[in-house]
Amino acid sequence: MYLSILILPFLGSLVSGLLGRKIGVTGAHWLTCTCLILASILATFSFYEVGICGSPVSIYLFSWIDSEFMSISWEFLFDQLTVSMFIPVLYISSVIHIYSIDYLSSDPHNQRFFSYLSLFTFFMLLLASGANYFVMFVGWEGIGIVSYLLINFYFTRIQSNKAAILALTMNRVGDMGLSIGFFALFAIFGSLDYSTIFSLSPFINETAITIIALLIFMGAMAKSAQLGLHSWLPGSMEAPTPVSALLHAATLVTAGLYLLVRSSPILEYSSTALLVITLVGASTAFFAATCGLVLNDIKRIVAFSTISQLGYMVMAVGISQYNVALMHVVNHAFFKALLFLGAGAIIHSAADEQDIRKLGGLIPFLPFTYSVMLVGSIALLGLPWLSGFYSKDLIIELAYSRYTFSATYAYVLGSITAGLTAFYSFRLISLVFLGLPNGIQSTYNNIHEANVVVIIPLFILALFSIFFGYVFSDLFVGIGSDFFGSAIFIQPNNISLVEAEFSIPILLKLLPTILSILGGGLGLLAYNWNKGIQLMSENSKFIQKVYTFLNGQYLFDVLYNQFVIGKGIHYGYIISKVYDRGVIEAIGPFGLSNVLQNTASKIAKLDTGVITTYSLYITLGLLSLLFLVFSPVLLDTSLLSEMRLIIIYLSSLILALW
Amino acid sequence: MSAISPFSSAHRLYVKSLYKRCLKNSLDWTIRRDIWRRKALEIRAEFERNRNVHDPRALAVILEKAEAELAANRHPDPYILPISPGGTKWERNTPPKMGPIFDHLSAEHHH
Repeated sequence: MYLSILILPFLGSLVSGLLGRKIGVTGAHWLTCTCLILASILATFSFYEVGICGSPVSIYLFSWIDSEFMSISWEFLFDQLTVSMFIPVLYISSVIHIYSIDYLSSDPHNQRFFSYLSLFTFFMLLLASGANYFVMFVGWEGIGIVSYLLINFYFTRIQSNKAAILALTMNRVGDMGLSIGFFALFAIFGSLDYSTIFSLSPFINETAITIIALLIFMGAMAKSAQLGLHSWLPGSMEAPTPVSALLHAATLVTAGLYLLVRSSPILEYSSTALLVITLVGASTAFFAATCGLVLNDIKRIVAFSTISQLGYMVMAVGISQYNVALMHVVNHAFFKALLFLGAGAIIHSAADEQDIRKLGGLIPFLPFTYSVMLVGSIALLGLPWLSGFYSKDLIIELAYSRYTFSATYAYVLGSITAGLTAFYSFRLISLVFLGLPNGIQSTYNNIHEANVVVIIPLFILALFSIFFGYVFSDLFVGIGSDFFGSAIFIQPNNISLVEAEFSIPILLKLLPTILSILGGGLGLLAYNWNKGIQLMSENSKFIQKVYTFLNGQYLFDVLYNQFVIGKGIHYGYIISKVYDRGVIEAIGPFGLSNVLQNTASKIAKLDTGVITTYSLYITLGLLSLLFLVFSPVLLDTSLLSEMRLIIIYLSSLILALW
Repeated sequence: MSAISPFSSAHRLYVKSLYKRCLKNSLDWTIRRDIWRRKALEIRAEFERNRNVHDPRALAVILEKAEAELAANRHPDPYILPISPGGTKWERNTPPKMGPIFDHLSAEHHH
């Protein structure tokens, strides 16, 4: 059963991709959707068996690499963490497959699209179920490649090409760190198996653990779009909306989080790495929320909201609350997929209009879509009793209850971010659904609610967004819950759930919620009732500057283009052309021809056509000749040699002057 | 634009384009049309005020000033129609060229 969960999406992908012409568009739809739904049902069973009944499964297939000390095998581990990742990945992937049937109905290459989607799901499952870092890395690279293919689905668009290349190269930066991390792991532990590494990590030097943890975090930063390596995620909104929902909200970006949560026994032994993770996470959450305030593309707003929420999750890892981070991963996957699919439904009904400035007043046209978008937004805000409340607010509370500088930094930024999140969510709702229509009349003439294939996924995701947190919070993050068993390790010193639950002043506990309500109210006020606030942006130079700065994403791209990319390409060229050639090349044929060419061109430069230069050559030539003639005398060490030497020097001086 | 004499058709087109760009830029900032209406009227009034300027030099100064103001107020993320160049649907699923297949063998070699 456990391997079937992995194999089914892979088979669906193979048949849909390689035999697409045989099975046709409808065949590809049916096949991939069936495979995914079956895999989801099996994943539900596995969640019951492994998670709720507490019996992890380990499956050894066969040895893969066996070289000296290095022994890597195809081995899978289905523990509580793995099955908790399976649930969002497979459920969301299934509903997105169903949703895509309608969304992609007017596009060519359906088989290719569904093949990619299923292949992506397979690699994500492989990533979550590998029992060593190497198998995990296969899944990691697989999702990287498939995300490239999916972002580039509209391959005739230059923007898509650029976004796909950006995503791939940005992820490569992280993968570089991660690979070096694996080398370090192997150098120190002599193995890449989770079991070996995690059982040895308490006995390893803390500096070594810190270096490894930071390198692993570098990989996670790129995949989970943390500050500095984030810019690929908004760009990848070029992909069709279901792709954005699956990859850039629910699954791909959570791979980095999965890696961090999985590596908890390593991270826990390095307080420095945890400090860095907290600071980066909190800064990312705040940064992305401020950018989200002023964006106008509906998908980009949701994308920045994703980056911001990923910041929260990384922050939770930084304060050692891995189970809370995982709970937020799962909750976020549901409501963010809902928001993306809702956005897709809006875009499709409004003649592919993505700019929220040209929408507005859509409630009477799209009542169902409005309802689910509202559900998604308030679940995102973490209003009480919706799913976001059980994880997001808890993360902020836990940050406060650590009583350290970095955690307080996270608490302050996290609380402010909660307010900002509410503002941009309600800005989106106001501009798209409330108010007056701002778009073109022909768009409004043809607007209609999507068909049932879109309604069902939205409805399922809305149910999950409302109830998942309420139902599963005690299982995942309840006090004393031993659901995760040994899948997650939290050092006893770092447990702060009790503090968060019982010792924080009630005002500080409620602060994020209060700020959320204030932010949401301000969003409604600014874009619906108060006309002055909207005019301010045009009339005030200061606001325009801030707007431009935030809209340009803190000008990160400009900085990268100006200072990093050019130099990177230059050094990369040198490395590939000079260092990578190796010794054999350097002193072999390439080196020889290079030396000859260089020498020839240098000798050719002597031919300057200037008389004085030529006279210098003549003088030098004369001196050399003299040296050659007198060298037997010069190099002679007998007694008379000094006398002779003086005579020679004088005569050559006279000759030279003459 | 001083090379264009006032009230030539090129001049009229240019002023119309400038007017439209001002309106669009302003709408990009304000978003809601009912609130923007007042601003649109202000822009119109500004253009109307200089309606009867005939001196080419004076016109050039006015237009230059308007251009500079527009550039200073420019929206960083202007609205682009999805199917226009730079829009979200631009170049999506461009149909492949369906002309006859080029016959390389019988074509003349060019050097």
